[in-house]
Amino acid sequence: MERLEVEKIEDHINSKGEIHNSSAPIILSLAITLCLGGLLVWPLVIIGLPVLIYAIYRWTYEETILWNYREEENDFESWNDSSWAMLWIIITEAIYLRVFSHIGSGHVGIQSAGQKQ
Amino acid sequence: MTLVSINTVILLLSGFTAHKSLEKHLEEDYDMSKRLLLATICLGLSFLLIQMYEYYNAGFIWSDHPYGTAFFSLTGLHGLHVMIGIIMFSVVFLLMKKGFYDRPRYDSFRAITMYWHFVDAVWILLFFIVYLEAI
Repeated sequence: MERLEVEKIEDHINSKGEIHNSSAPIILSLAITLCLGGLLVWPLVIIGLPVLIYAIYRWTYEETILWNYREEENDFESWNDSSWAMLWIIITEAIYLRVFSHIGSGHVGIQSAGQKQ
Repeated sequence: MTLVSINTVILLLSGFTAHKSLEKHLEEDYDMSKRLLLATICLGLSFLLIQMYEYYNAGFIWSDHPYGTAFFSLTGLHGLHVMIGIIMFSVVFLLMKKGFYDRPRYDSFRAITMYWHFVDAVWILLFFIVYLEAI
């Protein structure tokens, strides 16, 4: 299995960017869906958690194999792909949380438990 | 309120240790970087445990009143982000222990640290909205 993945990577070694047909992202998505579904129907967590652990293991395992086939492109002064990706995630989350906070504090009218009583 | 203030200090401290851990990693002081990363993970876990204690002793549940709904949904969502950060830092820590980070691979580490600072910043916002504004 490991050999097969490496060969696939070597086939695309000259492509720009990284191409490999990993199932890890879709397994991780499934696991997160199951875990979130578990908030509504708790038995889903029993399936979701082991799948989540496996997906993280699988992704990390594949990622570390890929490292051996990557050039050392890290430049201490530049921003690489994962930093950009994280920046976009943060911007999206900030917008989402802002809307959430707005709904929580503005429309509903936030009041402490003491004020309620 | 005291508990929340302690929790805020814990989370801010974890942001400091995460930043220092990344700095040490860039200086190629991997042992210190690992120690600081472990401290960050422990501080993050402490934050979650105190949060759970707070939930348990809140005296109300999410469906009692609008404040309960806002309180549990906002802090719960934030707690979920802290949990994700801890998982990501744990993966980096385990990879460091296995020697994968001996070479200057720091991009993912920097991205996760950035995420952790974001989680810190959101908590400050929540601290004002959920706790201080509601007093």
